[in-house]
Amino acid sequence: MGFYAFSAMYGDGLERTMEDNGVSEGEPVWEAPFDYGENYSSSLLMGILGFLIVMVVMTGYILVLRSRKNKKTN
Amino acid sequence: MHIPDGLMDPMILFAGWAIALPVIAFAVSKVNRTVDESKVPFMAILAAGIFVAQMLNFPVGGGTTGHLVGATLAVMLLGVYGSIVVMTVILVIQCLVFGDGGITALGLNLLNMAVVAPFASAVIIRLANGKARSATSFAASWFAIVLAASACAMALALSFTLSNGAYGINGIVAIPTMLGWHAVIGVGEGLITMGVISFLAKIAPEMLTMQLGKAEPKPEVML
Repeated sequence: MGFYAFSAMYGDGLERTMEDNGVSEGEPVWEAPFDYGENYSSSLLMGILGFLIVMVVMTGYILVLRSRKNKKTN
Repeated sequence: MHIPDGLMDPMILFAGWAIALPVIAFAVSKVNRTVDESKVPFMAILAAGIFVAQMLNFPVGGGTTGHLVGATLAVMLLGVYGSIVVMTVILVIQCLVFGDGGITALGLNLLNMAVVAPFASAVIIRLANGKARSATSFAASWFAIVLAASACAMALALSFTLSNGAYGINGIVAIPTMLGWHAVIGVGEGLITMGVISFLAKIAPEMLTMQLGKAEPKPEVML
């Protein structure tokens, strides 16, 4: 938690490069339904949500793939 | 390293999609041919784990942070094609669900983190040919981050030139700045990847032999 609090407020390498050169982020073309959260607890929640979404999508992708493979072999 | 909307010239955005998509399609077809049931849970958990690890920023000094990209870790555990598929799924979800990286820049983000980074890792891993696994994982991670950042910096510089300064950042500034920060961030990526790989080599060495996209995996060779 302390680690998060220490570093989360700072930008990454690209954000820092943009900042140093006076370039700001444009308006997003796609409004995503979620963001990573503003504090530790909301970020934790988003982390769990993201973990589950990635797991479901990845599993779904491979299961679809497998069923197509099985259809081909039958 | 997630590029937002409105930063790059439209031509560069198009080029990102045009290069990334065929490579990803090729990787997907390679993985499709070789994936089996036993690898499903592992691939899913690895992808989800990398997603969460990417959320954890570590400070690199000067008010800047870095985070794990995870491409090298995925290459070492799944092979280069498996890594491309996993990184693609993560980046698409980050963009569409969490707004991390612009949707117009998704092609470039895929190119940098799901194509350039895995292939850069794969080159180092292949050169090492299975020797000094820990050192290799560190070097491959560092090289992958620096090369992906170079690709991003080149895109910034080309955007600046093509648009006469309306997009991107002047290459004279963008390239050294991006490389400088990511040379340091790459050390963090390298240490994390080396730690995970060394741990897995001790407790579950068989996890380091899964290579998707290859017809006959060789257990003793990492790639």
